[in-house]
Amino acid sequence: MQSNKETGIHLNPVKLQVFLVLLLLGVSVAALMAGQLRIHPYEVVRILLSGIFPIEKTWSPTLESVLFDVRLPRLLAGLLVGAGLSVSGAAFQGLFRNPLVSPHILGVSAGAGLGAALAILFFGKIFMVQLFSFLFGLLAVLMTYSLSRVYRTTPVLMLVLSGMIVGALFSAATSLLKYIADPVNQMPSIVFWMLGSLNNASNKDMIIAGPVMLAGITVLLLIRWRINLLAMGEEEARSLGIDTGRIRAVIIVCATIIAASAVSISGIIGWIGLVIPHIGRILVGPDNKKLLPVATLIGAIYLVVVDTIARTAIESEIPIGILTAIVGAPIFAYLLRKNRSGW
Amino acid sequence: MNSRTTVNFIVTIVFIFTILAGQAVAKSPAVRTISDMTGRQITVPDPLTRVALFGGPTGQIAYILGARNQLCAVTSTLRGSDLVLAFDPSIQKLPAPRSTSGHVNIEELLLADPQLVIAGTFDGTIVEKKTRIPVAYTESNMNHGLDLLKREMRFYADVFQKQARAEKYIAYLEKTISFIKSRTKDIPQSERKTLFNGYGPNHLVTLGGDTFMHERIEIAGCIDTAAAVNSAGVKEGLHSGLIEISMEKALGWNPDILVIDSGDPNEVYKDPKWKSIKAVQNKKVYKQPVGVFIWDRPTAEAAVLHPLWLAKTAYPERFKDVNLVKEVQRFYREIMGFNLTRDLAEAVLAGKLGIRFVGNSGRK
Repeated sequence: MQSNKETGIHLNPVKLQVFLVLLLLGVSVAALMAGQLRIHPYEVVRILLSGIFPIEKTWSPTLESVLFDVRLPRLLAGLLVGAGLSVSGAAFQGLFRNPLVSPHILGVSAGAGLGAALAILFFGKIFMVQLFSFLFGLLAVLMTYSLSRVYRTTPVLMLVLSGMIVGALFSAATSLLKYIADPVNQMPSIVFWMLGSLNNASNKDMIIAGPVMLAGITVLLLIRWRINLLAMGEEEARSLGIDTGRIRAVIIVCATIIAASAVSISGIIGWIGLVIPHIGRILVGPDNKKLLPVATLIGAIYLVVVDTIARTAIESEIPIGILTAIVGAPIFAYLLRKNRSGW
Repeated sequence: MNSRTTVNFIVTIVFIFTILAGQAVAKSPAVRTISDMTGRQITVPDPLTRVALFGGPTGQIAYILGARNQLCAVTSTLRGSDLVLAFDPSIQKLPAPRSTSGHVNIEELLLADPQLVIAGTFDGTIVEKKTRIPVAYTESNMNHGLDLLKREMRFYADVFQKQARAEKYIAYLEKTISFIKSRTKDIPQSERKTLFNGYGPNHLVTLGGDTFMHERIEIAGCIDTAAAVNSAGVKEGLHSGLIEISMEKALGWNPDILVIDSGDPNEVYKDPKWKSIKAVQNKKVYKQPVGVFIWDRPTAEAAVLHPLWLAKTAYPERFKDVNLVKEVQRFYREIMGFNLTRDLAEAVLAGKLGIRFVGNSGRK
């Protein structure tokens, strides 16, 4: 895909990536310092270092727990979910050759929503909610994928249509569950979950879901140049001797695993997977080789920043799904106005 | 026409009208005027024998006032309550036209043929818009303190004409509250236990300091950790005063007592995220009781029993003479006419009873 010099900013990708990595580090350190509980930054550094070096513990176990059991897993979850949703969004937008596509296009969030609602209704335990949302997210995409194969000539279009069908089915089932759920406790739980939050992220989640998401992100980054080939179009790619079906399957598997893991940790966080790739495109152009790493970094930075706002701005938590849109929409509108990005 | 015929004519007319008016009065059923909780005057048939209740937690007044036979429609929460079903299985035969706030099945309501609907603002306006059934509005919100509860009880008593029963309940309530206060008022501030209600599967959803819960926690002599959080903004509907706080805030509050409503305390004891709080270290995590309805709501039963449970749980040494099982049995027997067995009373206190929503919908 040739880059159009007249649109976008097209920064030097290497310099930009170095800058983004530094920004990511800065944002992460700031996120560890900030919180509802005021802990002196010097104390934060000492507690964190005590995890590695033998430092005399002069602080209360509560502070240690706040840092190691709350802020650290929450930071990691923010980084991974933000990076994962953005990179899979970018990969999907390349795969479907459509700028309106997000990682949720194949029904993963609708499936995860139903799984979570079922688990809230019948078990009421966090672990079951996570497990069910993950499994149902996978199930929904599996259904989409099988359904799309009944009509083989236009696989990309069929995938999108099947995703809509499966998504509608699962969303309707979720609405039904909300309707019959106990309106006093269960329904608010389902609604809170749907709004998305990193409040439940724990070290255990990170140990289980972290490697899975990292693997998915890594694979997508490694095959990013192949996505360019898909973006040329089915016919052209095939004429170059490329097995488009296999690349498509790999992208779908990776993006689905990432999105399902993300949803199981954080609930449904929309907007990021849709918009961060566009912001990346404004900065480095539409070439997926440059775009995917940049989108990964921006996604991670963005979600950590927004989550820090979500947990510190007021006395209670602000559902992050609301904030990602409220903070992100004006930024996106401004960038769109300023630079018409090439697509 | 001379004056005589005129007088005759007038007398005749007056006579005819008097007869007609007399007949009209005899034919139209007796009515009386009640004023609802928002101060509106409503004319209702007298006696009222078919009343539809829409409000969530208020269904229990049917038993508290002994007005069960005057109901023709109730809420699904009442119909699904394990405790109610144990003593009044016939409740399942009543329709529940209002499923959740904003969802009223008008046909089901018309079929129930109520003379009066008692509802909150949102549901009430729906009924008024679509039917001719008179609506009495309740005033229910999440900063529903004891004063509002008493006012509510007297309003219902007025509707069902059960003033004596309402006063009996109010006396029971006041006696219990002043008993608890007499035992907790002299606890020095430094020795008061801090208490956090951690609801929902993640134990982070709570009721803020501006809700009725604050009053209950203070009556029990405890310190409300969520005092600075406001959550009563939403009067009715989905969130019903609940709000989610961040994990580190809960850790920072470091409560002496944690009350949960999902899962069981053993899970919290095992969860590494909660290990640093005092409630976990001292094994003071408790599951909240459930009676006719869950106790973290501004209901009549919870207003009496919840503070007592909280107080005994927090300060067992000050309430050695209080046997919670017996108190639960006594309340339901004297006020609601339910004779709970020991096992059932223990199940109430252990939070083992439920409100079954799934499977209880529809008329049976």
